[in-house]
Amino acid sequence: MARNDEKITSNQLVAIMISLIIGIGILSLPREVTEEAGPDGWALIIIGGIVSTIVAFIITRLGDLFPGQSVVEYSKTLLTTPLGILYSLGFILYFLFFCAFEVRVFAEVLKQFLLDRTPTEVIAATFLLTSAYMVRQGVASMGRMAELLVPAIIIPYFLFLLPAVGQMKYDNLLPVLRTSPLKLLSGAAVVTTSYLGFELALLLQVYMKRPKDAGKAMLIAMPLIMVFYLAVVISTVSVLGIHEVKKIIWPSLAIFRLIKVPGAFLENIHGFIMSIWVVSIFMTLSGFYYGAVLTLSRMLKLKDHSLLVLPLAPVIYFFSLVPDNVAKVYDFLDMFSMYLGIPFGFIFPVGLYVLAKLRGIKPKEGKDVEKPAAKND
Amino acid sequence: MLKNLPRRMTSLVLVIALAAGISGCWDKVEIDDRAFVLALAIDKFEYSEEEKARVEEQGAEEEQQGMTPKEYPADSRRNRIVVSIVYPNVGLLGGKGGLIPEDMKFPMSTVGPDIYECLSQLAISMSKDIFLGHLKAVLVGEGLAADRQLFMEVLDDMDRNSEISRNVYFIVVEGKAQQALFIEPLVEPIIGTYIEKIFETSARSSRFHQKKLGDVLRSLDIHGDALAPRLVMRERELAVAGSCVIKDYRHAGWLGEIETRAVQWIDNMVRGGIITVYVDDIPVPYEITEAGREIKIQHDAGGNLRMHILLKGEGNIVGYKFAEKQELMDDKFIKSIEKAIEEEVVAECTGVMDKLQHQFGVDIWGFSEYLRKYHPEIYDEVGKDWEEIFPEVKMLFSSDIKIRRIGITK
Repeated sequence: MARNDEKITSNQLVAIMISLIIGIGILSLPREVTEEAGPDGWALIIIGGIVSTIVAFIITRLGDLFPGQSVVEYSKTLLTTPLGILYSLGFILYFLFFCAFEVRVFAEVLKQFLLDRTPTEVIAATFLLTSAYMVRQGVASMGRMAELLVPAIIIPYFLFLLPAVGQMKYDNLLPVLRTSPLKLLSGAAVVTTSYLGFELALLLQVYMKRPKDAGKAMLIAMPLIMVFYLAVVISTVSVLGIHEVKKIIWPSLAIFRLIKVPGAFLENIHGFIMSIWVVSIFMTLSGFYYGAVLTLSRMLKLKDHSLLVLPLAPVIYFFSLVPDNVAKVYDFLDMFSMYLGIPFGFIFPVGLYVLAKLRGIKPKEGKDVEKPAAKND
Repeated sequence: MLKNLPRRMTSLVLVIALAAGISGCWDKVEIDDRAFVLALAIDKFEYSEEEKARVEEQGAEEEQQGMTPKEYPADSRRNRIVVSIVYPNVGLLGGKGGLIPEDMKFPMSTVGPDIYECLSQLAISMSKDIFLGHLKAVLVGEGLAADRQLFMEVLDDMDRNSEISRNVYFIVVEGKAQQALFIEPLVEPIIGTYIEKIFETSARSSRFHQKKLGDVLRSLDIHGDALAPRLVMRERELAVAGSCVIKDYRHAGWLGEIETRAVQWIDNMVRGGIITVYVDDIPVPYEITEAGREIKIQHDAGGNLRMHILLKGEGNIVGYKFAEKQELMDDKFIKSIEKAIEEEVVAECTGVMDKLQHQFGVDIWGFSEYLRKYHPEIYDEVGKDWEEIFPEVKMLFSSDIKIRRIGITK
């Protein structure tokens, strides 16, 4: 089918990355960094951002070495076939878990703030099915959708933040950099998981019109995300103060309960922020969902990935309902970031790149420009 | 045409099934089915002596008759707090007229173990869904605020709620909160809006503490201490006046209106107000238009902490005495009035600081937070035992008052 032959532009990759990476983590991000580094939480965002940008760039360099191949194929070359298959299977599991967390936290937050009588199951299922529809359309539709939605997420967010400027007390960020460097580094490990998602480039680079531009796209996307995260953390901490940020489960949402738009008909802009956030989670879920489907379809060498979309939905749904309560959700999420997120996002891609360099693999010239990706095998 | 029929039927069934099953909103509530609670009053459940005696008598009587005495309210673990709400007649407010047009609002009250159980008890006698999203004010009775355990429970009930905004006004009532809530004020019929308006329009008087629920909760969260505005009941009106000192999650005492202004000046919160000083026995009202403060902290020779607080103000003289020989339009005279005001301000602040340092022993300004932010090296030294150190800190006040204008006559 033609779907998998469609290509995305480098701008679309930037948009996909931004909408993908900004997800559930954003709600608890100010709390997590403040727990680690107190008023210096913003420094963690910068450290995490730099590390993630470097790794994201390495991932695209890795892709450059194997034109027309995604990680599913070249991991077999680099790691031998059985290990490569194992790697891909792990990757699928990683994506599925990620999807499950997106769905679950989405349902929890929505139930807490908006739909307190709608069963979690219904929220999760409707959300998942909508996303499945998106994923079936393939990467080009996702690219176009992301291009449309990213401005619709970022611009209103900053607009709604404007009335809060008067309530921001920047002395909440004092004292500056009194946290020990060691603590900053160990804290940065926690925060890097908020940048997870860039590893999707391992798969998406193949679908670019000009795969060589992927590196540049990542170098644009990651710092933009970092700036957005910085804005969120600084605004949240300066409005609430570090003590309250540490206490509230989703502080980034809480500040919008404090903001009053002067003279507005609706006092609470909380609802608008929720809807922006729903859109951004939708793109995040779709991205990871697509990642899982794509890895599986490339492993099975299917021509059309859309067959696999619906069968995976119950799996995600099942995983998402495993944790008993919101405390358990975050326990699992911590475990997940430690044991799956950091390896699959940071260690393995860098490892693969080092392996490729050690083997002295050189990119084959001129092969990647025209050739449709799905037909390389 | 007919060939496609089964297919069309299937898609039709599917469309209907999807429309019914997939639309996720199960939470639709019609706006007139909601009771918008604008004010919530919470009191400790207390028995008056006569009632207690009556209940005991009744119990004894029943025991005499060979029955096991019933559990009476005073003995029950469930009767801990009294929650009262008022919700306006939305139909009337919208100009359409409700079912009972003469009633502007509906007050209700019940007794229970916690806020939410009380609300659910209230709900069973109401035809509407209780909604706290538009809550304007929470009134807490003096008795409740004095009970540490209960007070902490109530605070958490509110802190945890996602409906209650942190912009709600949190006020401690001198007396019973329920009584304040059920007053029928002359000026503004609905208590919640009434209180909101007082805060919005009268904050410039600096005569009450201008903090909201979020501020009080934050302060309590950090130190266990806070200053909350106080509500005073009058015949047919309410007054937000002065403040309530909360120490270690418990009501510790009141501060008057002038004291509260001094506290706020030290906290850099004063935006206006009137100070009257006496010059040659003539009262001179001074209107504050701008105020600020500066803090300097150092160790003195003995190694103790010393805080210098400079209170700055700008403003106008708005009254003097008619046909008085001494004209106000005289720089030297203005300077002498400035001096008198400065002395007054320093005296007020010294007084309230002394009270809070030595009588209450509460750092309601959160100076420890100030130290943590601006003087982290001092904070590292004293932060842990700030509670003991605070009363020992030497506080030195000075003031710098400027009179800019004197009105339109000489």
